[in-house]
Amino acid sequence: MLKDALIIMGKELKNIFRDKRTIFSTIILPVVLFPVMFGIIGLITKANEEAKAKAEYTVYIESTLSQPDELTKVIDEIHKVGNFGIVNDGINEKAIESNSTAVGLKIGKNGDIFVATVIYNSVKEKSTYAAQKIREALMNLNSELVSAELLSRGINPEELNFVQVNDMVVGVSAENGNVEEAKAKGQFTQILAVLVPYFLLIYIFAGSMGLGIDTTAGEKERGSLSILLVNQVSRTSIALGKMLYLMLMSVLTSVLNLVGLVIGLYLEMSFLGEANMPFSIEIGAAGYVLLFITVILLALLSSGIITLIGSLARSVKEATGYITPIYMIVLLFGISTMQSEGSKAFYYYAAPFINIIFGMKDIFMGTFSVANFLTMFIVNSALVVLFVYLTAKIFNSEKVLEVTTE
Amino acid sequence: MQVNNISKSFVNRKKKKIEAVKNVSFECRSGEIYGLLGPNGAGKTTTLRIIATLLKPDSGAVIVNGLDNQKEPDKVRAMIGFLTSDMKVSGNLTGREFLRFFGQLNHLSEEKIEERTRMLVEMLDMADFIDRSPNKLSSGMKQKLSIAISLIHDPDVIIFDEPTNGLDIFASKVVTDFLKEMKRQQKTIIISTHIMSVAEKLCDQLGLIFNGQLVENDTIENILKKHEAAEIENVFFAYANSMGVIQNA
Repeated sequence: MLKDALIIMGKELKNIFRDKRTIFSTIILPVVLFPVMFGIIGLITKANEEAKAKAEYTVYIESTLSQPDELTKVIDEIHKVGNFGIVNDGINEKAIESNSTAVGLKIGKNGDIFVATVIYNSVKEKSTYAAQKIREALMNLNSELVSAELLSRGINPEELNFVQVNDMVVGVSAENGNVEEAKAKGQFTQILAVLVPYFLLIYIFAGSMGLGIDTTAGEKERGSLSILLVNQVSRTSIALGKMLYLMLMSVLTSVLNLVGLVIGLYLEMSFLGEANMPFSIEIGAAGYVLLFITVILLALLSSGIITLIGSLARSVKEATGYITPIYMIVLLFGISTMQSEGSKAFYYYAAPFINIIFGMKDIFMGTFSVANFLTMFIVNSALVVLFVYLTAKIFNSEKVLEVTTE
Repeated sequence: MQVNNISKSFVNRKKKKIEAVKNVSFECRSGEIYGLLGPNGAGKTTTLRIIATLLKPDSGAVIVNGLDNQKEPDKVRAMIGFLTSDMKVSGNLTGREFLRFFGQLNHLSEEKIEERTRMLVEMLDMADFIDRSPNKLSSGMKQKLSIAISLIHDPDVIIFDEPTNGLDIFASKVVTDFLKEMKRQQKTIIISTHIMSVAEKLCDQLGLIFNGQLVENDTIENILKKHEAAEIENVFFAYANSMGVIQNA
């Protein structure tokens, strides 16, 4: 039975890899698309930030400060934070509204306290940036004034810290004892625990959908399925062969998509000067094996559902109609569990798809439990067997030949 | 091969029971071509699908070389080469790769697959396109490839449903010549068709089927004699008229 299933799988793989469009969309596009997309986003963001920093801004000032040196101090602080030209003859609201590099500052005093209002156009990025810089300059002035006041009272501001906080990191990211490195790794692990299960779930299911419908309902429509059925091959082998083919293709496409995504994120962070984030995880050899098993289970589960529904449907249109709501539910599982951490209650590991997400999160976060993993493994394996059985049953019945062409 | 009293009904989308085949019986011997002649929707394809184990009859039995096709479908499939008009080869594999794939599914050795491929390519004159994918073939070439696929395991019984349907005159001739050659090789051949000239040229025995019922089952000569008709067409239209097929068409 397995030999025939492998022959069918091999034929399907050969068929799909002869198709240039499939090679492009399955292999080339994910590996190229994400790096290019994120790279461009990184470059544009970087160029935008640089343009904002290099731009020459105009600050219209309306001052009611009585001491001339007070305004000078304010203007000095503004000059320190950016490239600002000062127009000290009142607020020009029209200019601020129309010109993205113009902001206004109304400044006065209420007793000993400086009272400032920053005027800017919130829909313009540069105006918002300039307003933020003005606020920064005013807060710098505040710090200087506080320090000067404390010193005038004989108090060293440095001595005003009564609490000192140090970090000690535990868990999978802290194994070599370097706290800063462990924090960075922990941050990366958190990102992976959020993104990887979600993207794998979506990619594997979505990746199986098109191919799965084509190899079942599509073959019915084209009349190529009945050629298989009149040969000396068991219907279970046909069902299994198609499922194995789908599983391989969905794992391949999702792994390539993930590789592209990680390269893309790395490129984007490099352009934004955040490439010090370690692009590695420390889950150990056992962790990788468990992750592999989990991914295979997810691929088998998705392929099983899609093969079953595709075999039951009488046309590609009908199959798409049946599978789309299931895809929506899977999508909902992915989104609703995205921010959750692993190690949930036992019943989470008994729910298909959700148990796979938490299984992966556990592996990344180091909260793996044998009982939970076994529950996930048994539940999903049983479902896969059930799907193969039901698909074979459909292939054995006359239902498999029912075709509706539009 | 004996078809004994088979019946088959379906329930359509409006939950109405349709009797597609009603108590059909006939037999075909080695070295003979049996033709099922009838209009579209008469029950020809359903009958052939029952013989080929794709459908189960509600009642009756099909015996192939002494084996009941419902009780031992795998053994019967090994003896049958089945081709229907709705079977279409498609995809990116070449014709040769398709033949190898179906040879493997029929558990033939690599040597046997090569030998059969060589033989079928020669008999069906496929040398020019056997290494091309079906997407690049004409309908006649595709039909030849489909025939070769259905016969890769060298079956004793050949069942072709509308084998010349949609083919031009040249491609039709290749198919009919091929069937004659198969007859010469003592194969048991059953074809269905709605083209009377094909039936008259090829068949030793003819079954006229209307509304799922086999109304005639004899040699062409005997049928013509019985109805005192010059051509099968006259008999066909007489039945079509009396059974209300023309009025409903």
